[in-house]
Amino acid sequence: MARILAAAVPVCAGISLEYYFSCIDAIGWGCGSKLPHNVTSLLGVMEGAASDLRPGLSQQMIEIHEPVRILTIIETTPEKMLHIMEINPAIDRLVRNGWVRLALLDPESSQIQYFCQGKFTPYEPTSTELPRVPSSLQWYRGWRDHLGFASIKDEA
Amino acid sequence: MDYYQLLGIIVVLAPAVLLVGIGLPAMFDRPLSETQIGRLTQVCVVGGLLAATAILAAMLVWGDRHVVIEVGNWVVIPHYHFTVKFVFDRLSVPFVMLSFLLCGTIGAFANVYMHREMGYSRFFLYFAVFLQGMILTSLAGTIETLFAGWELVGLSSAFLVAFFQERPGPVRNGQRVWVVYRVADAALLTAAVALHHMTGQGDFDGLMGAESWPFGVAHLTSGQALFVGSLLLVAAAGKSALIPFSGWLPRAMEGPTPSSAIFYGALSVHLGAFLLLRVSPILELSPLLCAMVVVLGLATAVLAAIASRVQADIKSALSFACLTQIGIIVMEIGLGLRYIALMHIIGHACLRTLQFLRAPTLLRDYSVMENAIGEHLQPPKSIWERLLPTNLRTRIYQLGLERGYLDSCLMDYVVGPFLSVFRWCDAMERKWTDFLSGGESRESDHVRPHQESVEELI
Repeated sequence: MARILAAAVPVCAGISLEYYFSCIDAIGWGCGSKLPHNVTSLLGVMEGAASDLRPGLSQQMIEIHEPVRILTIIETTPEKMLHIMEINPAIDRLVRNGWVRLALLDPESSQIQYFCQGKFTPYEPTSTELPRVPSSLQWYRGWRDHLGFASIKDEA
Repeated sequence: MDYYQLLGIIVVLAPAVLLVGIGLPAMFDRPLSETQIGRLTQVCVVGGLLAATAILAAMLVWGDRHVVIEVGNWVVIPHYHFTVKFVFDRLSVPFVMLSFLLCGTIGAFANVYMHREMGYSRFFLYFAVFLQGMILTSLAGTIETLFAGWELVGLSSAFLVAFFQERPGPVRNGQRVWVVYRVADAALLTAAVALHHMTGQGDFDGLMGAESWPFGVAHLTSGQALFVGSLLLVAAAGKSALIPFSGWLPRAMEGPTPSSAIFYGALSVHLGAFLLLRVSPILELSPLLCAMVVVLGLATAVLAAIASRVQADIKSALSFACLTQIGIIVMEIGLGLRYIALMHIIGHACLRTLQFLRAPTLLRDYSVMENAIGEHLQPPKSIWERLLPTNLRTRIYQLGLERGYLDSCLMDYVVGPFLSVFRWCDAMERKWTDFLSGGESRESDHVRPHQESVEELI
């Protein structure tokens, strides 16, 4: 499992953080609109006739994304996970410094443990209510902000 | 003749309908939706193209090679008139069809590419102005009509370069393009006035006889032809970015990719060559003028060929590559090869449109090609590498990298002296008015500059 995580966690963290930062500042950390982009030296893009090389993702790639930290849920025990983090500093730094959120699903009890401030704590759902709507259209229509979860049940 | 009249009016009105259709609702604060704008563009461009094709078919069937559609006179006084009229002949019909075809392609591309973009309707408004300008210029039967279209093209070009108004770079470069266009416009306007003065009218067929293009014969003396022709050459050089105006072309790549493609890759840059083709009977009268055209074209082609090889970014490289071909086209016109120049324009415009539209996916195209051949693409070995000594090659490299030093030369030897002369005049005027009013005479000195300028928004 250590080998799977050594690849999966940093890669997913990289992708998620790229979207995250491009989303919270599309001009500074993202590369702005794709419209004036100009491929330079076969290695990057600049804006128009002359500008700095632009990092990050373009506005058109992040406009339907929400800036959230990725949540990794792993089916294992806290002891095993802490051991993996110990032998793999890349994962350790990502998790401990909050770039990636981590939760463990206990194989025996199905208890969820959430990694918070250096230790695993059992996860208590604050609400078990899930809004119910007849169709997804009704849930998102007229709503331009980030959208919560809802259960779609056709009443008829 | 009614048949031609009807179709001709459709060709000219199609872009006007588009312009009014997009512009008018926006003026009353009821902008059209993306779908409506896309559909309207499609209908107008396809309508115009079909009408132009029908005219071509009719001309081929009935053997007409020179169809004139008179809209009316604007001013008529004895020995002098301003006419609005459009000419369909061997030059204008291909050019109109090319304009509709490429504008339609770019419109369809931009409709998807600009989806949900802030300036979507603004882009299509400029696009409509541009299309109208291209059609007017191509069909113009008088030099004034041509000038009107020429202005519309210049105006929409400058606005599209400065499309991203919130950044200072595009606005500055847009202004620079505008200044070069104004110099070209001034030359064209002077040429128009001179033509009126010499012949009493600006009609091309009055000037070059009723023979259809390219067989017209101009009724001017060799000296007059040289004078008017030189002015027209300056106008063409400004519009087609020939030497010494080449610096604006790479700067114009600030706007959205589709506009770079349509303006600076495909249509707008060929207008200078088109103007020279239109007045080619004047060129014929003066061998000196022809020689000037050939030399200018050759010099531009050589410089642009050198510059395009050292550009680091794809749009600059493409714009100089484009300029190389335009130089060659201008040279062909100077040598009297009319049909070859026209075909060269059409082929080149289509190729460049494709290349500019593919420019954003350059990296992907490269990897597809490299995967297909299974190794990295190598630049071909040039024979110059063996023929030229190293220090000369370094010099040429530097020349290409600095884009022929054209921009800095213009700034140092034209713009600089121009500004200092006018600042001197201003200082003298201030001295006199201060002296006459016995104190500070200018209220405008105390007015603070406008705060909401584009630069301030950054």
